[in-house]
Amino acid sequence: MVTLVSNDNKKFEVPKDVAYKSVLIKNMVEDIGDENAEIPLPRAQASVLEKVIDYCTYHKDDPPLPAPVQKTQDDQPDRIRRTTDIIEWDYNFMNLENPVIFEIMLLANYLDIVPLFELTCKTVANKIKGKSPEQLREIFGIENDFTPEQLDEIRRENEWAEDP
Amino acid sequence: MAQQNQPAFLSHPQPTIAYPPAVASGLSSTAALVPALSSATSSNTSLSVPMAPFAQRTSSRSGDSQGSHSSSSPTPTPSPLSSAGPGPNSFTAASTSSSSSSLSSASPTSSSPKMLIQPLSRLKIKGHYNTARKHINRIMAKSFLPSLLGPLAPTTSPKPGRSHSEDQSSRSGPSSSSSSSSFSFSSTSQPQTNNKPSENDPPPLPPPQAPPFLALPPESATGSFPRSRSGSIATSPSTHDLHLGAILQLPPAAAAGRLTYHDNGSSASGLSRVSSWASSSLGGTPAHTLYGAGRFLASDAESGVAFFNDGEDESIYSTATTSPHKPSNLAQYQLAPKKTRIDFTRQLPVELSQQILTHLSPKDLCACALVSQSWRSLADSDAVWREKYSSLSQWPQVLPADLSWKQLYATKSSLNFRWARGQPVAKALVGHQDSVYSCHYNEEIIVTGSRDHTIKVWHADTGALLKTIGRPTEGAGASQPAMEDSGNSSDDSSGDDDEFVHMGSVVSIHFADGLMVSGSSDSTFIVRDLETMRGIVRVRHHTGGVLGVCVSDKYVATCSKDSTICVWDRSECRLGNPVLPLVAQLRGHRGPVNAIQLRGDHLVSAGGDGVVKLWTLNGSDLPGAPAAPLVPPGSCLRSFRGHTRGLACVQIAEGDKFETVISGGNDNTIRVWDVLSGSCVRVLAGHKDMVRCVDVSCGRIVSASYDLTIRVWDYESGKPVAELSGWFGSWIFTAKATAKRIVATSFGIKPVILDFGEGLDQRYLDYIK
Repeated sequence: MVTLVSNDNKKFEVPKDVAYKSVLIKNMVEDIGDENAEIPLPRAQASVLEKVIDYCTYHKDDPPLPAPVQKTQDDQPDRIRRTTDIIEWDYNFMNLENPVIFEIMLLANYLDIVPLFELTCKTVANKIKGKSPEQLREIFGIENDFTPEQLDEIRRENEWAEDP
Repeated sequence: MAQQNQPAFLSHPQPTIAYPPAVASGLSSTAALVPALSSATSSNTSLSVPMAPFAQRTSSRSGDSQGSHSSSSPTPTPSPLSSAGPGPNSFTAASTSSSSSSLSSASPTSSSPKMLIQPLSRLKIKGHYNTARKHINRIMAKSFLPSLLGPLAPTTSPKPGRSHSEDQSSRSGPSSSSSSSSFSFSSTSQPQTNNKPSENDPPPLPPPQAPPFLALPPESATGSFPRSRSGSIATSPSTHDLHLGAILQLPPAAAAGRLTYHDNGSSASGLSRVSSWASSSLGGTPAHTLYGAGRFLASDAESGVAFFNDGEDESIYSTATTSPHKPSNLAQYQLAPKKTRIDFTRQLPVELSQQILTHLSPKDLCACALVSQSWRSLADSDAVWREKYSSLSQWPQVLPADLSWKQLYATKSSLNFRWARGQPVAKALVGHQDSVYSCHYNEEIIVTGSRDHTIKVWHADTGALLKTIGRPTEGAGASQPAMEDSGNSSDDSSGDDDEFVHMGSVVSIHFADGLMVSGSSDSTFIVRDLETMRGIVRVRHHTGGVLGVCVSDKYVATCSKDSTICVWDRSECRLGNPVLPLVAQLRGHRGPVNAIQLRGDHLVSAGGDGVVKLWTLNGSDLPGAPAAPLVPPGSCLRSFRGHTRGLACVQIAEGDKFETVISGGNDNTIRVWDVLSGSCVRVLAGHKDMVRCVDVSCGRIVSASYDLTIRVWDYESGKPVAELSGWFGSWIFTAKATAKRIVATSFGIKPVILDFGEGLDQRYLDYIK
């Protein structure tokens, strides 16, 4: 068991295979060499960490991510960019308010849990998809700081994207 | 006519060979059929002949536009078929004389070759004599109007009440004038193509405030209002577009706030239609109608009434939300409490926000760019678009810092769109005096080989004739060749002694790695230095026409009507050192070998016997093939059988790996073969006559056929992408494709560049391979 300590000093006892979904924790534990050591996570709020542990518990048996496909002559991995492939459990898991999703995203990024990070990205992307600029401003509480002329100009610039 | 010059192989009784026995027979009856054709033309056809040389076109442009301007009647004003058709042409009688005269000198033989490139507008024939079509195509192609007879498309009558005069007068230059000549036919199913200016063109209107067809929301494409595919709404800044444009630019408050309709004084019925639409949309429109696409444009093309709801203004928003029929997706996020409405881009590091955005489509990203300044900088960022671009294409090695990945994506996307729509801009290369059988090109030059015994080298961008190699046959053209014109006087063909001049049709041509090889029906092939185009060696070895040639860094390969393939070692071959030892002679085809291609130490061939063969030049099989003992160099590794008739062409699919071979032939099909197993992966059917040439580029298979069409297929799926028809009035011999263009040659004398990149930013096109 690995013990994770949140920034508000809550302790979470987590099986090793669950904790090791986080590359960061895995590396830390291996560096320390003591599997029973407490791992302080000063950037993790207990409530968010709990959600992350839920996720890792459900996915603890997932096969590791396939090695990223290398494109020829470039080091950039060929990421799979599909947003429709969220499984039902993940979808329900992500049925959260935006601020929580962002917290989870940050923590997943910090803990280096790639599938969870991708899931949060897709979830937010799905909230953006198909929305008009006005709807987006509404959803995310953003003020329009463009002049009408600027908007027209941007629209002209982007007209090519209207293609099917 | 040219029969005395007919190469020997033309009369060979092998119908599977591409080269045209029927051509010869067609020619023999040309003289007899011309009068009949002319009368057919006069009785119930109308031909518009847009091939006036650019010079003439330019000088007559004002007259032309005036003419068309003055004739705002729905009656089109095509240019008459001047010298070609002796009989009066129905449209000539009907159209105004001012515009006819401006283009009336457009017969091919009188056109001055001084202007080397000219916009080519499609030529359409209107009439009901489809039975005469084949005769026309095969005969007229030769005697007049080479390569320009479009297929006969049943033409619906021009839409009454539409004035195109504004359109024509507001646009200038050859492309507009040429389009004007065929404009009346815009309601045929032919794709409109001349909506971009040619490079010779003084800049016309500032590039349409938006490429007009892009401005249309999907709704309009499928909408119920009459909309010609190429007509005024979609592609030209006609009155309707101007209205739409004006509305699009209204301040949001006016454009979007309320139901704004624009009355251009047209029919009341149009207005009421819009009004009813408006009320229904406010009432119970499904959510996606109002909100799905981010902005919505409804327009009535017929009356010019349009309605734009861009939702920019809060009022439309509140109107809709207070409507009892609240759109569902709106309701969904309206329920979210205020505190959850936080801008993640301010909460998250930039990189994470960009990660989110890479999951979005270009259209969604463009919506994001309209949200706010900070969102725009994220949504336009290179990090995001670089990622998006990787889904479209191979990574370019680098993109200079001053170029934006978004623009690269946009350029590539526009290019793909034009390919999918079959919307190139066509330009003709004027200079050959007879059919053009062969062609090869790269980014700098286009090289064509003709039945007039010459090879011509053209500038790939401008289309200027750079060099003519060889002397045109006498009497090949209808008129005496103008040897003294600028195109010919500047070249050094006279300096080439007879040794390096073909005495027959140049039926095959290829160049690579510093050498150019041309094969001729005179049974010889000539190897030249690519840079200087000076002959190095002429090889008399084959006993029949050299139907295919290929150059690689190691070999020169030639194939012939004599059923053999010869492979030559080119390593020592250079100017002043005419050494070209024969490495292997590949025997196995039972019939003429019509096409070959080299790849490394392997070669594929396509024969008149209907078989594709894979040969090894070093004894080894392909990497990945089941282990097999070495065979003697020059052995046939595999034969691909499945075609039911003779083959005309073969092409190795692009890519680093040698995986598939594509062949086409007289059974009208294209087949894709797995080179390792020798099995047929798929059959592409659709052509209605012999598939004369196939090429693969950028995931597309491009095929040219004697059915007068060039078809584009998706390489991965084999699905048809586009059909390019109307550019050729006679058999198409070659169509070679790159990411941006197709260069095609036909029985006509003018090779045609079908350019999909016209008008796009060249700096970005250079990075799209």
